Amino acid sequence: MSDSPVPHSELRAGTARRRAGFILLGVAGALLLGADLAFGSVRIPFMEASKALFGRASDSAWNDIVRIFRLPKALTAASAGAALALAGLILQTIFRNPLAGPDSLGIGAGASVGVGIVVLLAGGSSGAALLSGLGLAGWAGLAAAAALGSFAVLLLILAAARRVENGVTLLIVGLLVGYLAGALVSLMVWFGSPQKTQVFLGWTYGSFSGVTLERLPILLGALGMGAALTGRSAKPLDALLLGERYAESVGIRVKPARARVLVAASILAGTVTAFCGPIAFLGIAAPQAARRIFRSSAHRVLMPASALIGAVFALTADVVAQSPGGGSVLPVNPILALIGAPIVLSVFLRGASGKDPA
Amino acid sequence: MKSSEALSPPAATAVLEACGLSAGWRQGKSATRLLRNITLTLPPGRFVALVGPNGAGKSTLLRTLVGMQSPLAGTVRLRGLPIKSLTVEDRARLAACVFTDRFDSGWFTVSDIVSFGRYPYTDARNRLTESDREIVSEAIRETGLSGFESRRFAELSDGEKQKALTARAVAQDAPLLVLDEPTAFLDAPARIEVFHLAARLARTRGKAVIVSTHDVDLALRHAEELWILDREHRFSSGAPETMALSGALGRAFDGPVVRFDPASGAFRALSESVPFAVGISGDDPVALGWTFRLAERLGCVIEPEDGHYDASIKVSRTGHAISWELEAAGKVTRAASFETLAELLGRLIDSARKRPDPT
Repeated sequence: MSDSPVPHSELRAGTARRRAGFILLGVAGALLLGADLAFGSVRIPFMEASKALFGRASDSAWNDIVRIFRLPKALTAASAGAALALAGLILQTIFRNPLAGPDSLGIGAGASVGVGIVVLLAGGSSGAALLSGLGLAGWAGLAAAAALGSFAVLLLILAAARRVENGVTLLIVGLLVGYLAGALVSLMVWFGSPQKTQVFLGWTYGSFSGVTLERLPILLGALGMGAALTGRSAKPLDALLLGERYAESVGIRVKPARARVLVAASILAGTVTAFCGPIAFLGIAAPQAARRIFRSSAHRVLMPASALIGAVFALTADVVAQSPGGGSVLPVNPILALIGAPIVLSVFLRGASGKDPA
Repeated sequence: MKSSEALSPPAATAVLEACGLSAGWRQGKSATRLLRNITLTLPPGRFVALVGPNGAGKSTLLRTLVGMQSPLAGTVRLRGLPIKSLTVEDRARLAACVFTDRFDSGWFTVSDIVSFGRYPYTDARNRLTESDREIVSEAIRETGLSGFESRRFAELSDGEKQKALTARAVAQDAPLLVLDEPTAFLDAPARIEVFHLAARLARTRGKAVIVSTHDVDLALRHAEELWILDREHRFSSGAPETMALSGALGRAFDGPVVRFDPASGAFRALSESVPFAVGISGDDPVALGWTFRLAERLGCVIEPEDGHYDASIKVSRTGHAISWELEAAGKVTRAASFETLAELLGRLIDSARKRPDPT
């Protein structure tokens, strides 16, 4: 082993850092999950909240609150955060741009068009009952529509990316595609009935609490599918960091590999958007934080790391959202922007000074 | 292709063969043919330099030869196997490439980058076996990057990056190694190192190496064979010396201002004004050589065929001191440094150019 390409001490230092990182993030995630179960309009002690998971809390009302309302919400937050982070990681690699993400490339906006078509235009059911009254099949359809909308935008951006090499130009293209999708949504809102519009606008604020226990399997199933597709792609994704020509020259079939991960990103980002509304910043910021903390560019490290960090960010935002207490809840998006924007900004500034890898 | 070859089993000798190859782009149904009817073979252990002016089609030829672009006509064979029948993985095991593409290497270290060479051999989870690791460290050693293994790739100099990328291609363990303009961003010593390394890989590892380059001078000095694409996209090949003397190099590159000079094996700008002929003599070869260069730099014609000199220079050297006797029109002047010689000679040339041409 003296011939190992990496000196032993270096190898150990890297592995130790990784192990410590994953343990810390796991502990933070578990604590935040517990906090998310405990906090809310009714404060439940931490221990009681974890007992309530198994129906053993001293107050039977707590059992119901935790199991019926808070657990689905916490799981939704964690899985949505993980999914958006994975989607962001894929997009940053494919577009070779550290500032790419589901929202910065207009993919969330594409999902909104899909959702808008389903909510505002389709179906004759009367407004307010629409989202809440949507059957399980309806929700699966909504998720599919959002994923399709995301994928359509991704194809547009991909076509643009072949023409423009410059990463910042690509972001501007994403911004414009976002405006375009926004315009379509506005027109649909204009023609939609007032009740439907109100439901739709409520959705655009972004929230993890709309997913009930029955709908949770659809969300988790779709995200699991996306994550499985992503997980199998660590090898080609690493190669794509060197560019398409190098990837092909080491035996990667670039087009199918890229198509597979873009479908995965659409499923991940689209499904989350369908269930939780457009969630900003998470998708860009979590992979950035993962690279910074784990000092790695290898996807076999970055995938679990980004997913964990995404879950931690989302849970943090959800816990903070409950902090006013007394029945009032803050919207999630501004809180995520408060966490995410400084991270993205620091990446942008570091990139401009050329000091550290993004 | 000759019929005897078609019958015999795939020739184990040639790493790369192209027959009647036409290459260019296809756009929809129309095709732009850039290169026509190229036939070539490349045996193992041969180091070839591909030269030609910009736009001659060097990159198109290389991309077609390694199968990243399909030919418009003709066939390419790698180790006797038609390239059309090969999968991407097969091709990666037969041909390794180094491109000029820049990429953001992030946190990847030198050994991470070199390990990419093992991609065609690793499983879906990309785990390196003990022998993969050995091949990676061997490639790193071979390219002179020992001790750089855990350095971040992004922190390397351009020359070291080129070595690491070459090490990556070596780790790919393919019989054909293609380096597309590896000297493009390098300083003079690093350029020579690249050619030296390419020649060594051909000699010691038996690899067939193709280097495309704008450094014709280095190509002439190091490559065993020269492939030339000229402005009309015509292909020719041969030993560097043959290509220089046959005029093939000149035909490819000569323009209104610059010509290839077979005598010195380098490109020269044509002097526009009256030629000034000098004869140079002396015993010390080094002092003599640099005096030649000085005279050439000032635009003189050296040792003209008709034996008529406008001036003659005698060089003598004792120890480190070099001195010159410059004789023109019966007058003798002396110089003790290149600077003084340049000034004296320059004055003579100026006054000769002001006189109307006697013929």
